[in-house]
Amino acid sequence: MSSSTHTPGRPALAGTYADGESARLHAVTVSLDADTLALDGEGVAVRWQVAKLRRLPDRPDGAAVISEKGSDARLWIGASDRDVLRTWFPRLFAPGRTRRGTLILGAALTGIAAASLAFLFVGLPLLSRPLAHAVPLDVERRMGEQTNQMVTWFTDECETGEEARAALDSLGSRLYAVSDSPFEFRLRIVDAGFPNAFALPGGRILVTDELIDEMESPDELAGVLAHEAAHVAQRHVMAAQLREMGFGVLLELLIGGGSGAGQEIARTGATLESLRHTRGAESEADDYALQYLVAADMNPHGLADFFERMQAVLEGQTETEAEGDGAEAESEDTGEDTSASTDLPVEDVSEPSAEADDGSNERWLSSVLRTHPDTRARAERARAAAGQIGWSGEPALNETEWAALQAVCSDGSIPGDTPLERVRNRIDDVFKPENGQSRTETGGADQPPATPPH
Amino acid sequence: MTDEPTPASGSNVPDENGPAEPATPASEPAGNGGERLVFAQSGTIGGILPITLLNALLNIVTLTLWRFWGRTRVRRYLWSTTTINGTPMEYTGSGWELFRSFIVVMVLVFLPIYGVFFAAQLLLPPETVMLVFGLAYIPILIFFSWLLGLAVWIARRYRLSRTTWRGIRFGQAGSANTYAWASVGYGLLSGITLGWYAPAAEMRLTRRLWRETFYGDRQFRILQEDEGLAGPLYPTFALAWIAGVAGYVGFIWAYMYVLFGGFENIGDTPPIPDAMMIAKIYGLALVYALFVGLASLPYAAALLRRKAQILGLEGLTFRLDARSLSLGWIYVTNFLIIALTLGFGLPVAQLRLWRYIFKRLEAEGEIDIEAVRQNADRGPKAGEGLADAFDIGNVI
Repeated sequence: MSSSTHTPGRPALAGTYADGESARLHAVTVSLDADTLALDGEGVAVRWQVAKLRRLPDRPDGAAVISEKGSDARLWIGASDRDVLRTWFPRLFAPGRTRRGTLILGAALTGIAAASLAFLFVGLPLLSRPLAHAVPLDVERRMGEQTNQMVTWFTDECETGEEARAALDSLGSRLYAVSDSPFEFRLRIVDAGFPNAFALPGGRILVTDELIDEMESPDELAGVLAHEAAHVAQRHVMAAQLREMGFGVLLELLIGGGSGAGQEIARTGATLESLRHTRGAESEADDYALQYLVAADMNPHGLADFFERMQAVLEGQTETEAEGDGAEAESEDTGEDTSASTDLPVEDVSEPSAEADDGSNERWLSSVLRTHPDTRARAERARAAAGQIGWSGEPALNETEWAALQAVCSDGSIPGDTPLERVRNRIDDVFKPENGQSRTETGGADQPPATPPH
Repeated sequence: MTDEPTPASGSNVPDENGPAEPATPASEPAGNGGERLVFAQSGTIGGILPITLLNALLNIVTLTLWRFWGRTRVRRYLWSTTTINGTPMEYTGSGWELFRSFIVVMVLVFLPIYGVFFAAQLLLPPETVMLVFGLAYIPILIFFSWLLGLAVWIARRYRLSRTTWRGIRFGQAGSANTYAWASVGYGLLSGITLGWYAPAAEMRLTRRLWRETFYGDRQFRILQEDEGLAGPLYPTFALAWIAGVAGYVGFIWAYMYVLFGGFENIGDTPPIPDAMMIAKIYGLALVYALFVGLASLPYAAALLRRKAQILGLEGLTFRLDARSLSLGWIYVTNFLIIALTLGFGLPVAQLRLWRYIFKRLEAEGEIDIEAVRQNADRGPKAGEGLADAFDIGNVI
């Protein structure tokens, strides 16, 4: 090429140069003069400071690409001259230079990811309790109403008779009187295909009719309700809600709007995990439940009885629910009731193996992630504590009241309550806020974003 | 988004922020006239595979935080293996730019939106929330589709400004806001016309983007004005549309048949779905998707051809020889690659589509390349966070 101005004796390379000003390519001679790289060609006399040189990724044909910091200009040196170039600029061609950068960046990002995870799984649960207590009562109450409304909107309906209503109210107010709960307890029976009880924010406690069917005495119900009441009083429910929100926001920050399979799994898993009460909260609720039962003069063995029954269900028993479920109920709630025979109370899903035959992914996931103290241990603890406590022997509800509760939802959903009608009810609810208060409902296939159980 | 680029208007005035050491502007295009352009793509699966594997590994351990750098590497590879007259294109963007922009968008755009939603849910009675969001449903939808339009435009400007050939940048001028509103409006029109406006909408949006696209100081032109912009697309679109409707009706019928166990039982209480029935329904959905997908291929290919056809730059016109079958093969195999690798194989799929396009792209006519000067607009400082938040940042 036109090798004009480079100092004779110095090695020179042929290169192609674009000045970053025009799209014209120039053939240049490239030579190194101390700390200056000289590019000379027809109409080109460029001097680059070696200290400011940068190397860009090679071209696919193996040519090296050199530029100056901040410059659009490019110098291409063919693959055959790379070796010379390497001796000129060992720093730019240092092996593993880019690899080290990748390693450092990768390690730093992994660190950030790990720290975020640690915060999500350790920091957030620790913070959620004190934060929950700082949430104004009014806000929590509204949240509870919101969730309760969702339950109503997303499930079928069935009737709660006056007597049953009165029995529930009396249980609620007796527990409220002995607790230091900032919220009154408002109980509702919902028709669902699995035995469970859960507390919503703001004092609402939902019990499924399936759970009542499983029980043999009102004392067991009182035990479970006392436990849920303790979650409300200690504001565990609010804490779980805060964890869920924190999880949502932080995960969004971390993984962005992506909708890949991995991201979806992370989101679902995290939501399930965050909504669960912590192990500490569970034991605390058990302890408070006993105190409430004693103070309200209810059978302190109720809680232990309940845990044992659930343990029995877990171990594959089939009789209790056969007797619990009236045969006539089967014809109505087909899908729900069939699954109920294998569904385990969420209370007990601590053993994934027992869940394996269920086949429901969500349940399986929830059981795997479960952190509960296992039911048997809780039953033993509750039994031991109850043994030292006296009680008048009066059942929590009299026989008529108990029968009224058991009758709720047992005749299935109101005929003609089709999905279309539910949509209409939902619209009605928006415009007439007052109805839907004393409803109980059927279904439960699509669970509301409620605080889950225990 | 108010950052209006101002491309140097065909003058020889060097960019003020130009290279630290301007080369001697000696050799002006001494009338050596035009050059023809030849595109080539030399990317290989073997070349993209190491990048793909490293990205997969790092995306897992960093909980996807690596994605910004990973995406940058993929682009760098695709660009650098694409040559025009033997000189490769270069991608000059960086992972940091993408990361920074993502953080900014999250903090300034999405956290406030979350905040409003959360606060509304917490503080208002549920009926009011439903009422407010019910009434605001359409405005909210419009807002988000406007935001999506912004994201598309901003991301494109970023990518073009980080694409150079012979040291000269591409660029996008115009207004993000105007484009976003246009895309909202065209979207509404497409909805109102049951989709029949969609080809026109697509071409009009394409025109909007390309007529404000620059290579250096040279602006792309649209050879076809309003009349007939999308006209040639309609036969293939009609095929896709009719197949879509017919396929949907057929799918619903078959679905009912499977669900109720025969047409005579429709209206009875459906039996409980068992595994077999669910498998059948998924099978039906797959057949439906394949049918509609196949019927849409001629339209997809025609769209690619048409987009290249309406484009001009100086004396150049473009031709993209996309065909239904070959494009269909790329789409189907890419879908399988992505699905079977749980998304980690995306770079391979992107390479295959990219290669398809550049192997079939031809330019006719000539351009005086040596007369092209640098684009004065350096582009945005940060990347395409909004697009990433909408999960469209992975566009190559």
